[in-house]
Amino acid sequence: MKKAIVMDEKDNVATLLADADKGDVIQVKTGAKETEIKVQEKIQFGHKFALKEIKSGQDVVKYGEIIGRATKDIPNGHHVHIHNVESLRGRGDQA
Amino acid sequence: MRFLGYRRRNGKVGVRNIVAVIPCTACINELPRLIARGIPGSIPMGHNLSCSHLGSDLERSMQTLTNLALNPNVYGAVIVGMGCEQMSPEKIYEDVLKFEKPVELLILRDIGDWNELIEKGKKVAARMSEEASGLKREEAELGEITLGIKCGGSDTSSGVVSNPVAGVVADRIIQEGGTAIFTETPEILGAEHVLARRAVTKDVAERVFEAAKSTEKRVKEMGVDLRGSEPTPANIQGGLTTIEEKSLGAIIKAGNAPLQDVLDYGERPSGKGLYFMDGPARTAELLVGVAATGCQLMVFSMGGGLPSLLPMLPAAPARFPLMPVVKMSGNPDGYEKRKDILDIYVGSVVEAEETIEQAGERLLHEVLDVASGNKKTQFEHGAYEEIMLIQIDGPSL
Repeated sequence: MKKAIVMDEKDNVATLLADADKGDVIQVKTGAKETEIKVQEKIQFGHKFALKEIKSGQDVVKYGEIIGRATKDIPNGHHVHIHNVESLRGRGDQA
Repeated sequence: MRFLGYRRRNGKVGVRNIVAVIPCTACINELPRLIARGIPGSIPMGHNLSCSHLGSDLERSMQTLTNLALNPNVYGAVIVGMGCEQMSPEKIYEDVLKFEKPVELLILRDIGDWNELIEKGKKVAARMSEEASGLKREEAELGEITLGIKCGGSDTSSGVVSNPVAGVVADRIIQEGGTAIFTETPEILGAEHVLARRAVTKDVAERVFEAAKSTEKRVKEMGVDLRGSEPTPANIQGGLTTIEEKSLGAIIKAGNAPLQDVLDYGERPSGKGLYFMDGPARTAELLVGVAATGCQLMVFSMGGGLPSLLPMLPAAPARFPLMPVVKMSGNPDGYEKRKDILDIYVGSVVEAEETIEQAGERLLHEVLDVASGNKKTQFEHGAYEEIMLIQIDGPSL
């Protein structure tokens, strides 16, 4: 089974350790704990998917820390990347 | 654990035995090239600094050139001055001399003739090269290593695999009384609070926040979104979404030791342990600054993607020879294409064939093998032909 890793139990995203197709069931590892989740779209190696629904405006958490903010609702099992997450740092465009 | 190195008169241990020929202004970068040509182990250290720079840029450049000459991998240095530059060749010479390092000073103003200077330069460089080649490697302790750590061409495998593996080595060297230095201020944005928690004093924690704040302020003054430069397009392709994510993965390469201090670009640490150098992420400038802090070697933690297909370091002078760079990747994706240009592969961790600690142990042995001269890194094959870039903050006039 394809695998994904969660860096901290506070995280709401997992990182894929293989290319995944829509509908693939992924084995998700958080420390010693293992669960399964179905990805809802094609997502490549190293990219992230939501472990549970992340609402627009909500923090995206990896390594147990905030890595950005959702700009759209991201359903469970969907790709989490620059199309639906913004950075909160170095935003000279908003200064 | 031990390695074999060249013990210098000042007690430091080099892992290479270089004669550095250093110009004091970019106007005469050609002189070191002509002097070093054909002399074994001698390297021309041309750079980007001339009279077109001001204040702290000049001071930083003087310190950087002096400290490069003081790197333990340098047996001796030939300082070449023009005689009218803003940087003082005499001061660089005297500062190097204080550390009991073989050093010679040649100034065009005093010699008065281009060809005569080259001839004199060749004579002193050849003499130093001969003296250096007579030295034998001696046993040295792991704790005598100062290791630079950098990540580049990062993707999500960096934070999950190769940075943690680098961190194991940093921790091991520090446990044995050695030093590890990491840098890249833009790549602590979003992770500075995590790093500051590890600072040995409140003052050091404050300096971490200050470094991040001042870099972010300069970004904001440009009026644009940092994304696209940090993370880079290649980082984004590799799955990194924001600078926060990149930074949180990047600081893992520095292991878990307490943070002793924040160094300026090219500044030598005053003690042992873990140090952060406030400096750019751009590899070309970073390598020079880290070599100037006194690191004998560097571990370069590489992601996958396009930058990892380059046989040299991305955005860097090809094969920066002063400090061997051990290039490691933990990304199994497309590994077959990259195996000949990596020094060590740790994607075995992703494939669950090895733990982070086991891969760290393997990396430590690779570092010691390179340190002892049993192995050359990929970047040491070939000649150094490009100039060094020293960090410049102010205007170029």
